[in-house]
Amino acid sequence: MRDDQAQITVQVPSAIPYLDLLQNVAEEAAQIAGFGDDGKMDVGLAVREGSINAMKHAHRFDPDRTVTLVMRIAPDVLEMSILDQGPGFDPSNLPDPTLTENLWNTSGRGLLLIRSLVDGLDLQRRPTGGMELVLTKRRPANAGTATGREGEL
Amino acid sequence: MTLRIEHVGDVPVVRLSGSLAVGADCQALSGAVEEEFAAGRYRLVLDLDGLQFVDSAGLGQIVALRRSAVDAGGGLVLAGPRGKVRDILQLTRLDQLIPVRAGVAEAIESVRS
Repeated sequence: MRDDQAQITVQVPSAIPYLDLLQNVAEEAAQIAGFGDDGKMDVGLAVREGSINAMKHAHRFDPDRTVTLVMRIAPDVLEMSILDQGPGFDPSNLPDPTLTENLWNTSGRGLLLIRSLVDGLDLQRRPTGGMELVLTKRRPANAGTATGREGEL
Repeated sequence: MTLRIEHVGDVPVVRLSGSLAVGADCQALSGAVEEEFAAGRYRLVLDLDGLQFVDSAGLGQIVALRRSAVDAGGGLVLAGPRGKVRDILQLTRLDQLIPVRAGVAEAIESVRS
């Protein structure tokens, strides 16, 4: 495996202090994948929002339920999977937070933010229970040469 | 996040820097503004010039404070959002719900009117 391709897995309790940890892991992985400061911030914020959704809505901040983050640094993309242990939900039933009648809502903007930060978003029920949020972001064009080892396997 | 309040006449200007995120940041902002409300100051400015990022919980906190201020006959105006924070306010259309001004002076003038 090249040193700029890897899989990193982190599993944490559903508690706010661990959000920073997940965000930091995501940003570090993004740096390894060749993202600059803006890209790192996008990746970190997307993972943070996805993790908040899992902890808050799926787990009600029950620390006995865990959130798993899997970061995969692939040749062309950075993939982020966030897995929860909640009851699951139908994303098509979520209200559009940008509609005028919803602007006063104090929650419900997480997925909108995430969509703006990444190139791909897939949300599906896991066969074993819970939801899996899969995010992808294309790696910068020059990422493969960031270490000066392009082509080395 | 760091938070500092400066009073310009009767208007509290709440200066935020760093990140406004779920948990302690939101609690600190809410607590500080509630103290202003308790003192009868319902027209206030949030200076976002130094804020680098805000998450969905932070946005929700701002909306909740704006609602409280308006319900009490006052107002809340945002000043100077930049970069990612400005983009997020536009993306979520919260810039249509909450007045946004380029600088603190304009925001103070707006919230007083």
